[in-house]
Amino acid sequence: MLSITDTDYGTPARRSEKLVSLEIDGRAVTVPAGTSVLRAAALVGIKIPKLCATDSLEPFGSCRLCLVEIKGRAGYPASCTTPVEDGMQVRTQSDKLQMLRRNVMELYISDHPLDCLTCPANGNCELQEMAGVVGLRHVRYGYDGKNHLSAPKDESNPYFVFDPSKCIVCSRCVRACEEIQGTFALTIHGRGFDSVISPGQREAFIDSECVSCGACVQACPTATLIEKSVIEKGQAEHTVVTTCGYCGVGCSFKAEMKGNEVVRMVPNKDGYPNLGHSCVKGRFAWGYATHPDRVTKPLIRERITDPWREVSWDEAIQYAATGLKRVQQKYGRYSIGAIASSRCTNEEAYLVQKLVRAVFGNNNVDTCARVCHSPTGYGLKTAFGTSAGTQDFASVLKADVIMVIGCNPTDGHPVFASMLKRRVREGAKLIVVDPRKIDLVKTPHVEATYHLQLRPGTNVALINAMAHVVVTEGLTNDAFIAERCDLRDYQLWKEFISRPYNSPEAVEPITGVPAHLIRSAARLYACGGNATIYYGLGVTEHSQGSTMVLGMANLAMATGNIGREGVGVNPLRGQNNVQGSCDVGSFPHELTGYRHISDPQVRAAFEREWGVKLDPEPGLRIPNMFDAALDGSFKGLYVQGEDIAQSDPNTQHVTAALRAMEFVIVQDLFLNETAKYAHVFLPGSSFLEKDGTFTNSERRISRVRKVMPPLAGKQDWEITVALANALDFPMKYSHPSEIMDEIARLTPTFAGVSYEKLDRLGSIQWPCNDKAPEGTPVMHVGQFVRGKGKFTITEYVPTSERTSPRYPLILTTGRILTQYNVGTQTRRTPNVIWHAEDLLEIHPHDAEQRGIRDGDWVEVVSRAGSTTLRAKITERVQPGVVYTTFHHPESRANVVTTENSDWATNCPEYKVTAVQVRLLKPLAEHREVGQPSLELTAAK
Amino acid sequence: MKDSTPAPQFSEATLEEFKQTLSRYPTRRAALLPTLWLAMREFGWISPAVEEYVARLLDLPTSHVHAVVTFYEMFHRKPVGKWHLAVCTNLPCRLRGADEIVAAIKNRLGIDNHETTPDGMFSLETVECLASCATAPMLQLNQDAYIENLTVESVLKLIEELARRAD
Repeated sequence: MLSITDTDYGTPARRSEKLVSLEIDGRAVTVPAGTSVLRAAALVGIKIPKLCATDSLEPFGSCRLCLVEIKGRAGYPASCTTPVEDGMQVRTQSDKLQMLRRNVMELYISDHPLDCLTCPANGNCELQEMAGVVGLRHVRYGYDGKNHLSAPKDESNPYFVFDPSKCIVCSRCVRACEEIQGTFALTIHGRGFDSVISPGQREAFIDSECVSCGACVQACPTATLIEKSVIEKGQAEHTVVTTCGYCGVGCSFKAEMKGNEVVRMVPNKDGYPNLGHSCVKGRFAWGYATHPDRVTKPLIRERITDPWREVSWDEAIQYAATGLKRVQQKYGRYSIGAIASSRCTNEEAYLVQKLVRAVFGNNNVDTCARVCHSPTGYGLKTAFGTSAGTQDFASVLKADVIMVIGCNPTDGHPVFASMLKRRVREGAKLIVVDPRKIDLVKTPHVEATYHLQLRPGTNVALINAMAHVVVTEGLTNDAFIAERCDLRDYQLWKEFISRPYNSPEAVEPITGVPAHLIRSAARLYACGGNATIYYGLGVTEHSQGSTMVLGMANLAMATGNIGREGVGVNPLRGQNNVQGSCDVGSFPHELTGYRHISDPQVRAAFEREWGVKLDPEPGLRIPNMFDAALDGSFKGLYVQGEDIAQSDPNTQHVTAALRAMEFVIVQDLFLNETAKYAHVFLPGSSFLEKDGTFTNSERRISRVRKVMPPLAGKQDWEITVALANALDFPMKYSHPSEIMDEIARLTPTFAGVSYEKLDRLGSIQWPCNDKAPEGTPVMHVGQFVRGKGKFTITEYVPTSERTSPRYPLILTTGRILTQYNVGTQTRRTPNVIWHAEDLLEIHPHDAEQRGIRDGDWVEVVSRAGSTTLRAKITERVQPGVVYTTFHHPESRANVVTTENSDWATNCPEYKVTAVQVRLLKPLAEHREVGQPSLELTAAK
Repeated sequence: MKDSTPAPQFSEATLEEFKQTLSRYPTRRAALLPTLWLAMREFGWISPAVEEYVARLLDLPTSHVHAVVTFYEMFHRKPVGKWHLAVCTNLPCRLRGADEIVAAIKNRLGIDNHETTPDGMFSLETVECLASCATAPMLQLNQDAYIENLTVESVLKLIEELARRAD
């Protein structure tokens, strides 16, 4: 069912320059051509009864309730499928219409349970409402005829129930699965009276291809498909618009509330970028927020071997402040630092870097973007002038060629993937560059024109080869280059990229991709109309991550695919606020808006605002902090919402560094792996418990609104404020809006941002200032932010992580739809039903050589360490490559990853690790799912 | 519903026919009905595994193939006998004695409508108009031959002949 506060206009809005004027019930109405009569009526507040129509789906015309009379037309056309025409005169109410509608309702109700009072949809049921609207008082057919009332319920999905006895077979769920989500899991089984909604081949929902996005549940007009949480708690009484706390798509949601309790999360039809769509994580997997594992009292201890002691906030903050001061007194100003969370709000991340720079007196602040998209920040800033993607998500709907590189949107960014798939169904061509056969390579209705299945670690060779084809075959957009780019750099690059060793034929032995495929893909990208690139961590998490970002930027500029809708170079960012945390100065070398700390003018503004002198020297990056800790010069750390012990590469190294520190403060929802090495644990708050803003992958700043009080009593920004105050630096904010005002004062790209404007517009894409008072959906229009676009020479340098007879396979990593990052949240929800453990995908050839069968326990050994996983034999991976996800701590994927990192930004090379895989014996006895794995056997 | 029997596979000849079929349609999706007929001929009936196979052949969602198969009654969703008797019971055939024909078959074979004899030889299905009203009553044998102008005697004789032919 729709959200309790949604208005439904019946059919989708149409865009047209041509306006049509008509008369409905004597009222003049003017709407764009193509609009349905049903919608035109709704727009002026005339409600025509309807059941199978809803404004998120194309009209269908099956329920026959929205019949109207149109002057000059015979019969009673359905208003949902009848477009408006000039001069049309429509009547929506008459005795005849009333009778026809009542007769239809009578048939529906003759086969519908009469349990409205105890039905979970009671009060928000469209069938119930329509029975009232048409004045149904009596069912002449009785209720004893053939019916569906005893059809069994399907409760297999953890989040919703399918009760076919309440179904009116309006097909809204089927159409939602097709049109909105693009999964095609649902259909109608049978014909006539025997028609029933069928997941797949009449399977249980859980066994079907259903991805639990919730689109069908939202589309259902009755209680046939309904959330278990609504069955349990009843209908909500108010809603709060907020922003999802999972991935970098940043969907807008309405939290439907009963007092302080969330009843359900419903995607916001009017909110960008998702416009009413969602995925299984944001829609359903929010239960972690009130999971019993949540820590609700501050904890302290003297040594990490001591048990934790619950204390008051005052005592914990005092203890934390004293500890940090002590370390600094003993080891000097540079001996402490902090890590800002990409899960927290912009305002909270901003305060952490302010604490470090203004109170700690150094620049030792970094954020988890270090381990994901720092090469994006570096590369796109170098090439174009801005450390962010160039487009809004909706731009993909204008693309003709979509190149997806090193990302798996259907799992990692599902709501964006649905938009992308829709565009491909409309005819756009798709190029997938990925070592694995991801779902986008081939599913019904979506098939990549080219899948360039390269070896992990050879991205740069491949992108250079594509650019080589573009340049040597004369496919460059010379007018664009001449007008928009630095020509000296271009000439140098052109000379470099034309060299024979960059040709597809020369790199074929490196990438493993047949030269003719690279040539064809390059031609399609250059000549196929609007070409756009979307990429993920498969690009950045390499020793040449930054080089690859520059390589993609080169290709886009060479073909003129920048600076308008439908084109661009776009990172799909992992965490909800990883863009935002970078924007607000969480890197050791940059203040807000990516301005270098060494710039005295920039520093001066902050010094005036904060009343302190700032250190002009960049501070330590996360890996430098670990190295310095092991050297003995870095002794104290404040970690806001990041589980570095699990998520950073080479776990042994990280935990040794944490052990070497004297004072560690962890601020998180749960006692995570890092907390094992902490002296203070400050219980944080989830996105449901705080006010603030998140910034998604398309630079969209959206409001996060508190729907319930913080479980532990403080929002994360309040904790940092308390800590600063205890360190004798007064921070006086009464609301996060004041923090945003400070960011806006200090940051040219945020100058026009305020909570008042966010409330008014819903969301804002930066840059937002006098030049763009309502924000900037597409960047670099007319001119690059840096002036002239910069081509950079991108020489391919193979990673030092090579296969050898001892480590003959390459391990690469990724994620799965239902789990999120290291699983801290999703493992504490029923999502575990889909992914109870991480598996090692291995090609049948490699498995056979090692005597491995599907489901066997195997040991994965790298030069850094080893772990055990269960094997899954599949041709999704190519021979020589194995793959795993990293959602479960017991999988210890990062025990095997190495310390290699991107040359420019230190982003770890998670995506390439040389390993050997061995069958473990005896089978299946090594560990049960969820139990700790074999003891670490570090190779060093 | 998924069975664990080996995945169905068209013979070389049927695959060739399938390719020819595809070439006659503007989209793969449009070739679904003729492909299902090929599958019926090849496998005798449309199992869930056959639905999946056809979906793969045509790049369609399995759910879509399932919907089409369950919409049309002429696709068998369980195994049928070696000899499938589809007796028309639409108005003209009925006026000309189709009910007696059906009763005679049921009686002779000991099966009801939509059933198959235990030896797997015969199955009976009553169907709607097969467009041969001028020769009513009539039946269609194995979705192929029309046996027309039926009488109780002729239909019983037909069954004897078919039973013998199978020996």
